[in-house]
Amino acid sequence: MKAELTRRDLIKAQAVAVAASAAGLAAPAVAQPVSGGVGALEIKWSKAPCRFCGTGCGVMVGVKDGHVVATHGDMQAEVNRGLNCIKGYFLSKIMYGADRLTTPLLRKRNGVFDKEGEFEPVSWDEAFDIMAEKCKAVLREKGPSAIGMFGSGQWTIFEGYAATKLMRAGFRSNNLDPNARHCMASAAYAFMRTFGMDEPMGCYDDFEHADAFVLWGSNMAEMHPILWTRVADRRLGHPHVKCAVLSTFTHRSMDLADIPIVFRPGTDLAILNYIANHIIKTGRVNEKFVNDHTVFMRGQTDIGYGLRPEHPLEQAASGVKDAGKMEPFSFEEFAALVSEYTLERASELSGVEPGFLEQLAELYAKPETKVMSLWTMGFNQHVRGVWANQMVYNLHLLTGKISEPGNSPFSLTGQPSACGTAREVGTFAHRLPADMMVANPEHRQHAEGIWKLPAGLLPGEIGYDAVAQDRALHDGKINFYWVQVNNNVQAAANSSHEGYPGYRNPDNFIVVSDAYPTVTAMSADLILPAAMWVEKEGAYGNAERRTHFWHQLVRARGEARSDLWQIVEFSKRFVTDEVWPAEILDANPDYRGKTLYEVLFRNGKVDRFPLSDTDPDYANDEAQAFGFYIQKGLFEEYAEFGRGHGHDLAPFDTYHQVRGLRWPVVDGKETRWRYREGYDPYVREGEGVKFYGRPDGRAVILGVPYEPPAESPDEEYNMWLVTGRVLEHWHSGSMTLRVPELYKAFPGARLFMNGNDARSLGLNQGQEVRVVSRRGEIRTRVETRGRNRMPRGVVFVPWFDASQLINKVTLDATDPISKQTDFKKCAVKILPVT
Amino acid sequence: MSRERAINRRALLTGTVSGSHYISSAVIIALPAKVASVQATLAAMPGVEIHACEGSRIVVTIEGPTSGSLGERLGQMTLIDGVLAANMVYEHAEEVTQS
Repeated sequence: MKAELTRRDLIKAQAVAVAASAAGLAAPAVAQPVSGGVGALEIKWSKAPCRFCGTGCGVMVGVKDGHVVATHGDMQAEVNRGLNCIKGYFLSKIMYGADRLTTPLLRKRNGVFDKEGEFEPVSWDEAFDIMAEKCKAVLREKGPSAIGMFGSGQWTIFEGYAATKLMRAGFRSNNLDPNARHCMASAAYAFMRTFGMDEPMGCYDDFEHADAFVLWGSNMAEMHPILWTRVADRRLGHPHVKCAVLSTFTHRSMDLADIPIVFRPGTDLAILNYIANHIIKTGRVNEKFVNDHTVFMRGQTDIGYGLRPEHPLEQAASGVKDAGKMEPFSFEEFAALVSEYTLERASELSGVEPGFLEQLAELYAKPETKVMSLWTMGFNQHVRGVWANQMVYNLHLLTGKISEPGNSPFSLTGQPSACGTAREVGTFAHRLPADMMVANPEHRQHAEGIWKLPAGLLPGEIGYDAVAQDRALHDGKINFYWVQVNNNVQAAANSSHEGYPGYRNPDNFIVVSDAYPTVTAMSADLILPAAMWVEKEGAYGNAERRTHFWHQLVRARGEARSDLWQIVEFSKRFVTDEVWPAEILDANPDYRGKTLYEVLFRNGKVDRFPLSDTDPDYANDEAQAFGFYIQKGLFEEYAEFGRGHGHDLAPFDTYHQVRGLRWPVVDGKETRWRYREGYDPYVREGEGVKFYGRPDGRAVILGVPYEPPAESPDEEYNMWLVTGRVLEHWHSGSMTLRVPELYKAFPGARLFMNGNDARSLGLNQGQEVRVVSRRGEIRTRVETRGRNRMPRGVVFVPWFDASQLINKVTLDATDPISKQTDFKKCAVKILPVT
Repeated sequence: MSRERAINRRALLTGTVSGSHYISSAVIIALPAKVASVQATLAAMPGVEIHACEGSRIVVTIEGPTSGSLGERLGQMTLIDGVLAANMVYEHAEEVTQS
């Protein structure tokens, strides 16, 4: 027994030593960390990125007897240095929910498919038979514009790349969009419009160099806890560091705020223009930087709200048609535009005390203060989201505070591969890999070359984006639809009118690939069981341009198969003659009679790495199924797009060894700060700073005004509704709600509400209420305490709870440029349940 | 059997424990003005021991009969007034045999 006790003490001492080292504290005297009893339990440990948010933490995954039994933060991962947040801690349980889907399910009646039938288990063959039959019928009758696919920022890089090939080159349709459209399309458009290249110039190393942090509508304490830990460490360890937190209500991140700012929904635009005005008025424009590296543009105004064209708001808006237009502007014109945003006006519009606004403006204005701006959904899910993103770049560009350690406008992401897959691979309706565009004939030609496909094959018409896909399903314009790794019936706005009816439209055949019976899966006609996370080999790209890989560590449950297998296997069911135009085949007869599998995936490139290249220590079910190392082939073909074009990726095998690398990776070296000499290999000696994504090498400073939200409270619908997330649950909760401990910690959504508002309506804490908008309603319970403290007139409901679908209530207004939905602003009334 | 059953020294010495035993460490970051009250709250939690505190950072161990109970405890720590962040670092699972 004594030995047992000593052993336990040693284990604890070791646990403490590791934690102290992760926290940067002097460790109490103990033995070096060793794997102790872990080896005795015969757990095999391997690295993987976390399955949840866009932070991209490294975790060590412990496998025993074919099961993931434990995970812990990876000490070697630079992102999280051994730390693991509460969701990451429970990663080992996400694959083992009791209701995991293990077989394809088809709606049937009397033994045959029937849209009104009940789900019955079917074989993969039967599933693909009916899918191919439906898809071919739609292609024959209506052509490629009537098929669509909705993917994900949770797809692996290989999966997104295979999907883009199948949809664009195979089926010749650009109706491919990711759920990342709801997440960071505004950020991606703003990057392209400002810098000509997507994704941040800086990286997470900025956290340790900044003198000030400004959170624009982001609640990092709950949504990016590991990065928040780095902010808190910097702030608390260095007394001069300041933290400003802007939000439409008080949340956990406000605890650290030196400058707490609660503003009226939508008025962040006015605050941003006020700060630009303050910088100019106080003579703190970095004139040399502005003259050498920027160009001023004026944006189109009165651009509408991305609603259906017949909506009165769209009819009334003059700038809808060319919402994205930018025209030349001068510094003087820009200064005149922002001069209207005085401190008094910004304060009046936003409801924020002038003193706080001035303190905030000074963080940007003071030349010696290094500022990191951080944002996620508060900016991106905004009817003027692209503007908001660009307006924060304005502040960094006017002061030259960009592309160097600590001076960093930084767009955070919400999904593990929103950057790596949705953006870099180009799974948006308008994009190709490596920032290329489907509407650009040269870009299409380049893609056809790399893919070894006939010239002119790729369609140039931009496809339906996420919101347009829902509307097209509703209207019967898309009739065959495949959804992978997302839960859009729960996630998309105005779901009772625009989402669900499209899935149940009798003219449509809907396929959903998922690991669990989500609301979306249950709305489908055919459900395909998906392998998830470490049940397959994978690659993700995080918010700081870090590409990271993992091996397959366990087998998928039952007959579940990865999305990669599903896409590639399905491609075998089509021959070119069925899907490509006769004139292309006439001009290229060698492609006749070939399956899409042969022309897309057995093209001499994707299939060039043999099975023997796979790591013998790990399974690889996809490589085994197809007979070659398909992930490596897909990755190396994809990497051709970016190498030499500022998107260089390292060789495939490197990524299995390292804890990720930040692109561009040139001569084996990653890039931490882009566009600056000495850090970025693409900036030549003597150039200093060069925004080489744009032909003139300059970044855009955009002049645009404040414009109001699509729907504001009025006499009847008198409250603002804001939706969002909570620490314990990730997005629609399809994974975290299946972890008993996380479910218990936050079992159901609540209506967070100001106590005085509740009292004036005669409502008590915990009372059941109806949240009603012009579009729909839900029932929930009042929460006047807890982690979020609401100002009067604003209520918050998280959207993870499938039993309280708050998106029945929200409005499907989007940013007209990015087509990203504004989930943060609509008008509701709160009524007691009687 | 209570999920919250903590293994203490006495239970180990008297051999009244069987099954698995989990030991984790976590790093807590607290607001400087609230470090003392956070420490007091942490110290009162079953299975939690404070091992180091420097500035705003507190290193604790969490022990319990299931991996999930440790995670639940971490979740509770996150919600303590004055805690800015609570993250898990290390986890060890040990088979404890009955003697």
